Amino acid sequence: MAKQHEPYRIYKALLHLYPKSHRKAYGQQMVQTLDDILSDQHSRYGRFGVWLRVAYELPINIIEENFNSIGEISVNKLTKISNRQLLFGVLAVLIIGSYVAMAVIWRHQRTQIMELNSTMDTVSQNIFATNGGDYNAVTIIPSEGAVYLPLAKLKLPATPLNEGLVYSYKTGLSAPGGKKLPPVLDIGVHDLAVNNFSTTKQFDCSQVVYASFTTPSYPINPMWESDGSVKLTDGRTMNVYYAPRISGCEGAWQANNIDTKAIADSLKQAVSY
Amino acid sequence: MNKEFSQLPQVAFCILLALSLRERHGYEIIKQVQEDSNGKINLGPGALYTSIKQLRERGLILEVVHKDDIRRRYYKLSGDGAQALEEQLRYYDNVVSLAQKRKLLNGILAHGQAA
Repeated sequence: MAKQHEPYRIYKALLHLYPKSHRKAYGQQMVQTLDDILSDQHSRYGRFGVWLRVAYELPINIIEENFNSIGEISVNKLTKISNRQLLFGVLAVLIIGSYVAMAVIWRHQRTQIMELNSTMDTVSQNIFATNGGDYNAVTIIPSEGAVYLPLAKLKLPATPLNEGLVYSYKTGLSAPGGKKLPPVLDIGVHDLAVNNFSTTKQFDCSQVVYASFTTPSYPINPMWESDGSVKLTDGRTMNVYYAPRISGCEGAWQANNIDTKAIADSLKQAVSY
Repeated sequence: MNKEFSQLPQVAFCILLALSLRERHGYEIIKQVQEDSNGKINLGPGALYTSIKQLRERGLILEVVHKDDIRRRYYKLSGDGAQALEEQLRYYDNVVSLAQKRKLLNGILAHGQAA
């Protein structure tokens, strides 16, 4: 074997992708044969053509040999399944797997997002919480034209100030020793009277769970806008209320550094069903 | 050998045909197959040794070591291999006879020339 140029080394390295038994039995002969073919080429173009053919053939052949190896060694000798049956089985698994994956994605999309037709650029939450108790939270992000179901079960104290709830999602937190902490969700109370926000409860987001949706009806409030009853894509009905178009409200969001897009993106990542 | 006739894959048949004259090593087989097929079958080392492995597993060819050329392995037809090749050739012979009898070759050629 005369030449040991770079392509040879690559070829030899690629032979390691063959099943060990095949490589052991024929690897050296493959290199020798390639060397014989190349030695017989009298022009640079001829040698280039040979490498081109090898580059085309090798990956297909490696896959074929590995597949045969799986069929023969792992399955055939144990269960007498033929390669054709094995191929059929693998294809069936792939097809079924694809259907399952598509179903999971579809379900995820269906339960998480509902399209809205609003151009309002605020974030709000539609639980009327003045009575306190357990509530299912919903985040409405009209700037994205979507309703997110962040799926937090909220236990809220009764307060006359609970005109609206604000989510502030914090990631990248760390303890004094440098240990990373899980993301948290601050639930703030929006006091419309003074346009002020205060944090009342902090959730460890690893505890955020999916909750069935039972939004209570919201009393008519002229300061809030509603598009009324909306049918969710999964068949449930909810009442959607948007943050009020009150002068100064948007400024208050900005003053509190609430990035609606970031909240939405973070919630999407944080919440798993 | 199983008496039931089974078709050989085309490459396997070509390799057996190439080995029918004498023992050959890998590159010699590639060249002979290329020549026998009028350049239509151009094997690379990967495809060649996959076929060689299958033929050896079926007991149709045998590996031979030449003392004067220890770097290369040579291959030769086994008794079963010679029989399989003969059966395959008889099958093709029969097919060609049938085609000639039905004037298929002339018809196809004539059709090709007309087109």
